[in-house]
Amino acid sequence: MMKRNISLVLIILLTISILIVGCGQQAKQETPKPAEEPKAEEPKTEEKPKVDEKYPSRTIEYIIGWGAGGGSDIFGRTINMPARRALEAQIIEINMPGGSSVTAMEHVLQQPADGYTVFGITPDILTNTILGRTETSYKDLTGIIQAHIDVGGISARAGAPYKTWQEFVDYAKANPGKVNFGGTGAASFDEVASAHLWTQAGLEVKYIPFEGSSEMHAALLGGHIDVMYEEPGVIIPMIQEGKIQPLLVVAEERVEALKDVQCVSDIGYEMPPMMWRGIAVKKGTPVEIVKKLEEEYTKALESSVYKSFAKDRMLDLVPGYLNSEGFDKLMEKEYKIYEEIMKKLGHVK
Amino acid sequence: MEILSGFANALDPSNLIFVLMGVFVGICFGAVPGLDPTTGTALLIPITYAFSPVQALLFLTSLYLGGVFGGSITAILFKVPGSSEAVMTSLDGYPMTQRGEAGKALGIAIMSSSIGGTLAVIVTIVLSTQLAKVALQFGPAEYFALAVLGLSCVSSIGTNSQIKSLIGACVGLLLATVGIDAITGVTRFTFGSKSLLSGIAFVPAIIGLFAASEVFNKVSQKQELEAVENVDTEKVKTKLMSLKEILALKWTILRGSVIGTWIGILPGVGATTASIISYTQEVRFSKHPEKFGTGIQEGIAAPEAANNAAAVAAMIPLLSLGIPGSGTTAVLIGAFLIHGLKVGPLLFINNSDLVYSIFGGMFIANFVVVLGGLFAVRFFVKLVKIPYPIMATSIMSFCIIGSLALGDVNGVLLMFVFAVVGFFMGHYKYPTTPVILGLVLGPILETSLRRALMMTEYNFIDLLTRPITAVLLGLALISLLAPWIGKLISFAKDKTSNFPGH
Repeated sequence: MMKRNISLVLIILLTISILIVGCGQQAKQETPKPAEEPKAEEPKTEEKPKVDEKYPSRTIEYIIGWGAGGGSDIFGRTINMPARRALEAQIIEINMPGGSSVTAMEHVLQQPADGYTVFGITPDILTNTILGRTETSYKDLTGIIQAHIDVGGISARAGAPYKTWQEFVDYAKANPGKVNFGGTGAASFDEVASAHLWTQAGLEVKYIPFEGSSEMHAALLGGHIDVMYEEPGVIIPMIQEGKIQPLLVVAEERVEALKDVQCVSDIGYEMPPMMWRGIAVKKGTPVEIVKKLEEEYTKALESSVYKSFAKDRMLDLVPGYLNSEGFDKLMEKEYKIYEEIMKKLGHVK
Repeated sequence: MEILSGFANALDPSNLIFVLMGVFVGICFGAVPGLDPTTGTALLIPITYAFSPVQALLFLTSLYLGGVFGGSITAILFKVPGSSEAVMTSLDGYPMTQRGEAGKALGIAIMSSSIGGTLAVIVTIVLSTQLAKVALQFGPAEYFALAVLGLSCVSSIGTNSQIKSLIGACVGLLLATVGIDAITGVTRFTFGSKSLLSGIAFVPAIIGLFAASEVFNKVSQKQELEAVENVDTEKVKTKLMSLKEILALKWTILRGSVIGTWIGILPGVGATTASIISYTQEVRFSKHPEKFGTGIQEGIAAPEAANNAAAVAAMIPLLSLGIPGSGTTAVLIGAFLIHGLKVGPLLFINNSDLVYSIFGGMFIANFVVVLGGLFAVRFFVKLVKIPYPIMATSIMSFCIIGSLALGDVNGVLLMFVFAVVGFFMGHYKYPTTPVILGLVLGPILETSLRRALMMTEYNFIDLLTRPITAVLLGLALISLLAPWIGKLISFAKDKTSNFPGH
């Protein structure tokens, strides 16, 4: 009796953990499946058009290069809700955090270019290549859509001796090399965008990288750093509260939600690159499949689920949609900008 | 008075059921290695779409609390910390199991978790706003000092050779430098491996060093296998602590709760760090520091009280500043958002009933942890009676699944490397805990120090003369030197007693 109970408990526990691990986390356990499937389809691949008409005939894996709960994760899980309906296919999200999305990128490029592996990307795929973290590059991917632009901003603690960008510039010039400029990540998007602005202003500041944005917010409120680069969508409650003073919205034109705050054209600077999120597949994926994905994901952007998500997180402040072609061109253009700034900052030789 | 209606709200059957469910699911997530409470929360957020905001948040916060406790079950019974929060619990919990006191150890873990969590809820309700403001005084320099304090106990715990412990800690710190450097973005010591880019993952390392190496160790000593069976065939029952026993541990639990609450409030360091520092301080305060690691009650009560307190206190900066105090609370922001709520002080004004319902729910969840703990433990404890050969096989499968869950196949490889290393460390009497401490605290230590130095233009004096930093570093120095000071004193005593009156 006792023994049976015990083995029952053991078996159940093992099954549960295998199930949870299998469903929730990793693609590695799923690898047998894709390996089998292409074989089954082999005869069909010869008559290409037929396969394309049938696409998607099985589960699509959506790879997220970051952990559960982050911006890319939530974006992926939200856009896939309407996309599932539009594509009439099962889409599962797989988190592959690690190496600033390098792990995920390398995984995607090891899969066949058949449209069944879709990759949620950020500008990190550009900087990773520049910094030599991976031999792969954006050129190995084909963009599907750029979904949105997450508008950035420069903010200070309320009560700081500057209330506008110009006042901050004057303050920093009076204290050369003393100002602590916070951002998330080292040699990251935040640093590049911030450096783009401070070099135009001719400032000498110290960039202080933080691993997580919550630590950085606390450091700003506690007066340990002077200003920070952060997306207003994340800190809007603290702005409304009057705890954080936005100095500059990093957008071409003023945005409705923060219309009293200066934008980049107000101060006459050149725009730094912007933080975007998009979707891509491995290069070499048949054109018909790319078109299909582009069409359906574009439709998904129009769904009410996605729209309310974008509104909540202030991802709709500036138009951020690009189609497949436009997205590819943007990556090509930005790659050069990032490379140039990274060189200036001394991160690459 | 709003808090009373909050309690009433949380006790409403339609809400209470979510608290119960949350705690039970949380305990399961916590107990299974490789699935930590943070992942559990993130995975289950989508299903809370269907709940009302109160229900969703009660469910998720209860899940978090249950999860932080759940890790201790497997840590105590099999030396497999179910989540990284329970690493310290296994140090004294597992030796107790080996002595046949598994039930007692689990009882202490349950009660300390519950009391620690409850005290933290009370602090949260009363002092939320004030504490959050004080927490902002903690800058990089203070985080650095905190990490040093956490490391300082390595010379005292579970070993007879301080030098060997320090060697272990240094190895841990060295391993912590692997991966992309958080300050410059440069890749360090990855030797071209992409899976090492984000550093050496904690979970495979912990499971390998603690659990898998223990299996190797047992299997290598054939005659001991029977001995284990003998010990465990007698009835193992969870013994909840009597009031007397609780009172005997009151200072330990209280210290653990205070330390846990404080560290929980700080963003960027969470329940794992809280349990490490609580354990450290307990060793320092103890009259018999050498007994830690051999299976004493304080060694379980201190980290367990602290990690649950930290889990609760992480809500303080979230609700009063809008800054999450831990990884899990960061995930919780997502849950607030999908229900159209924005976190921050305005929440107190606009949705005060919701906030107080969460407080009430957390308070109740801490009691449910006792129930859920007893219930879950009743099953888990039976596993101890299984003949070791079968048990060892199961533990190994859990080890493999656990390391697969967080990383990829390379995680399993990493786990086995650490298992072999851990086996030989045990064989040559090198303690493995300092390696883990170095690995967990290393990144906080290193990046905070470098960040602090960048801010002060590399002026060490500026850094060390900050009052909080100075106090914390002073405490750390005392902890580090404690074993030698103790020896010196006893040496002096011996001398005087040997040569009386001359």
